[in-house]
Amino acid sequence: MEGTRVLYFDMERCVGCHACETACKIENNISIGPKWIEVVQHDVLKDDGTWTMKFMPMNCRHCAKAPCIPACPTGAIEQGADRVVLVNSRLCIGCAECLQACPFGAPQFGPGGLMEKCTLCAHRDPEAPTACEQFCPVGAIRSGRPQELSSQKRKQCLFIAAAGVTARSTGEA
Amino acid sequence: MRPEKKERMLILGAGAAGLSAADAIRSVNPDSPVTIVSGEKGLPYARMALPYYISGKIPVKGIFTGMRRDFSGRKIEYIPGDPAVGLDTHRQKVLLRSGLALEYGKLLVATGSVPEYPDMLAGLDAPGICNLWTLKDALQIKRRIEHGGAIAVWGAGFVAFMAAKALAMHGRKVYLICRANRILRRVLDEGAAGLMEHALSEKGVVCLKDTNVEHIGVLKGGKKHIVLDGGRELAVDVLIVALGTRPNTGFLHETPLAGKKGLEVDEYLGTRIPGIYAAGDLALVRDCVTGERIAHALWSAAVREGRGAGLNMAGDRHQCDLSLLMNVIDLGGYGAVSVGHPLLANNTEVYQFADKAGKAYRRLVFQDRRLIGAIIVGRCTDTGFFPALIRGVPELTQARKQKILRFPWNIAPALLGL
Amino acid sequence: MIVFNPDRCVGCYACQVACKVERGLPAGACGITVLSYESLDGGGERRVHYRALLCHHCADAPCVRICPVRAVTRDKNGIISVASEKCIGCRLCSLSCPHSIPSFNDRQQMTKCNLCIERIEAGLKPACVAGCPVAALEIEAPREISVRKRRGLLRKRCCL
Ligand SMILES: Cc1cc2nc3c(=O)[nH]c(=O)nc-3n(C[C@H](O)[C@H](O)[C@H](O)COP(=O)(O)OP(=O)(O)OC[C@H]3O[C@@H](n4cnc5c(N)ncnc54)[C@H](O)[C@@H]3O)c2cc1C
Ligand code: SF4
Ligand code: SF4
Repeated sequence: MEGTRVLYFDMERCVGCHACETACKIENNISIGPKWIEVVQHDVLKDDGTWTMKFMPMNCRHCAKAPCIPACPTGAIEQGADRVVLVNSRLCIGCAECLQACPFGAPQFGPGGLMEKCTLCAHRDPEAPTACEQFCPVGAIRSGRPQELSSQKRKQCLFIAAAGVTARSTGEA
Repeated sequence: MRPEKKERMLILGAGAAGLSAADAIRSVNPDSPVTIVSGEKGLPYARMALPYYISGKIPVKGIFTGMRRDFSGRKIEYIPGDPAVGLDTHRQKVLLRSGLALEYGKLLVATGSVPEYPDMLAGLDAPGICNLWTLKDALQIKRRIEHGGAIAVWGAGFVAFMAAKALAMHGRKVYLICRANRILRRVLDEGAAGLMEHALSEKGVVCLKDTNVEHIGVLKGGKKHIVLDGGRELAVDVLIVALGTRPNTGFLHETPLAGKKGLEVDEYLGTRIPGIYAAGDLALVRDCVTGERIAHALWSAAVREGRGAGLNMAGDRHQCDLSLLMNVIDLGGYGAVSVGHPLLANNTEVYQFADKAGKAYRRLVFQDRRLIGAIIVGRCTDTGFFPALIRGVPELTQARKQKILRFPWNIAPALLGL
Repeated sequence: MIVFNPDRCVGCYACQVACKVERGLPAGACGITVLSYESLDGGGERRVHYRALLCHHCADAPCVRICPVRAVTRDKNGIISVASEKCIGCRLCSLSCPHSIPSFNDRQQMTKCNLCIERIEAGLKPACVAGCPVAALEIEAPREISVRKRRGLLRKRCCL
């Protein structure tokens, strides 16, 4: 199918358990410090005056027009045929210009100071789930092409509207 | 325990290329046995710092690029003062002059280049006639001119210019004997060379252009007597010969690697024989503008190639950037920078800019919607952007080009703004 | 590293002044350079933008790699600084730096941003950051930048 594989994060499902971070670290053998995927949290005041916490995993979005690519002064960031944005650590000088250009704060810097980031588990079978997706206990992360994810989401909306139930109780969408 | 000899990564040459390669190998592979052989005695030093030692800008200890503890601390074996004299590619062995034979698993040839010494000087073994190439040369020159004296520099290329400048900065009288009609003819056009010649003459350098040397002799008392064509004669204390260089590949003559122009390498710095790499002055690397395989005698190229070769020797697959010419000609704050091929003449668009005071000058050369070369004289704050632009990062869009041509004296806004 | 926010900069050059005063730099040499350029906005109006050229203190810095006399070094905190007295003035660093950062003093020896190491050790911010009247400069570690951006996005999403 057309398009890059991307990760879809379902904020309604994420419970902030950080399992994806751990799975990613183990899968990709990442050192302490950099987080290719990171769960961030935000407190939200609800209408009834109580507080709730929102969570969301953040990784690299593998943008089609990735701003990190023109920002890199050494041409170290490349987009493969499948549009996955990858960095060549031999060309990287660790100037962090990509991080300044990236709206998602995706580029990470390890102990050696060179850029590293989510590869969408490029070493796995392209159709297999990514590590974070595989280990998310509540199904808050889904990988797929934008088209697939869009139709899944549309179906889900129809389902919610028809059944009048919340997305959380629908199980696998 | 002695390391497995077949695993040994052997580096011939402790110059810019050799030391960068060792650094690169160590960055990937902290343990593999690495041996560096240098043809010269003592610690490795930076050739290009020699003129600055002569001019007195830095002390002699400032030219060294590696200390003993840098080697021992990183488990690198350093063998100085024992040049390679032969290579047996079948048995994977390098023979050193002392008779020592070193086996290798991977070999890097980074022995640089050697200066030409004209036939005219054969047999004339007079102290005070030398190249400016090794520390020995520099020490000799420095000692001879310590208490004044006149110097002739034969040649008008980059090394000749550096020598003349260093000696002039040291307050000595210098004659620059130049065969062509301008100095630095490979990197500067007439306009820029004129400005540089003028600046040189203000520092006390006499540029003798369109001039050949007809005879050289030694006078009583040790002065060198130089007869130029047209009958002019000079008597100087030191004659520095700087007539170009050739690749230092003499010891390879029995191997299939030997070439007159240097050692051909692919983009992974490998030579024709697997396991043998080459980097630095003697490596023929593709030029990023012309695509031709040429040897660039540049420190920057030697560092880049050395690093690439080192990474690949350590088992990586690193494609080295193509080579880019860049020369900096500085005369105490006023100077010129030449990047790429500013003198190329086929299908090129050339733009020249000069300021009213006649001090600053720029020549920008485009070909097929690319910038392929630039000469920048005076006002040198944005020079750092030129190498990348010639390499094509960032891309030279039409809008950028227009902006550069409209504001040619600082190209940074054009590159950052759009 | 020092992060520049172009939306805040008003082009007052206070950072350049602060840098020069702090380090006692002569004309022509400065650790930070503010550049201005114009563009036309959607309505055909001219707009002036600013960009600050700052040393990124690269982890594997090309200037460190290339310096023939090893005058440029990286310390244990990742700060790239130059021992000017060792410099020969060959300018290879400025040609190898993708941001054209190294500048030269009147002895033609390189000077560059050292992140105001003495100020940082004394618990102060670098002179340019402290001197900016509109907080367009901030000193931030890459990790902090990443977290700030990631949190900011979630916050935006929650406000929808
Ligand atoms: C005076 C001067 C000024 C210069 N200024 C500049 C400048 O401003 N900018 C610039 O870009 N470039 C400059 N250069 C050129 C620059 O120095 C060279 O391009 C650079 O040193 C090349 O590095 P290399 O490692 O290839 O060779 P080299 O640095 O020449 O090193 C060669 C090494 O090989 C060793 N060796 C030689 N023969 C043997 C053998 N048979 N066996 C084992 N070891 C051997 C030598 O002892 C030496 O250690 C200058 C050169 C000179 C001489
Ligand atoms: S001077 Fe340039 S290359 Fe060196 S650390 Fe700073 S930004 Fe990087
Ligand atoms: S100009 Fe000075 S600091 Fe820069 S590379 Fe040359 S010697 Fe090193």
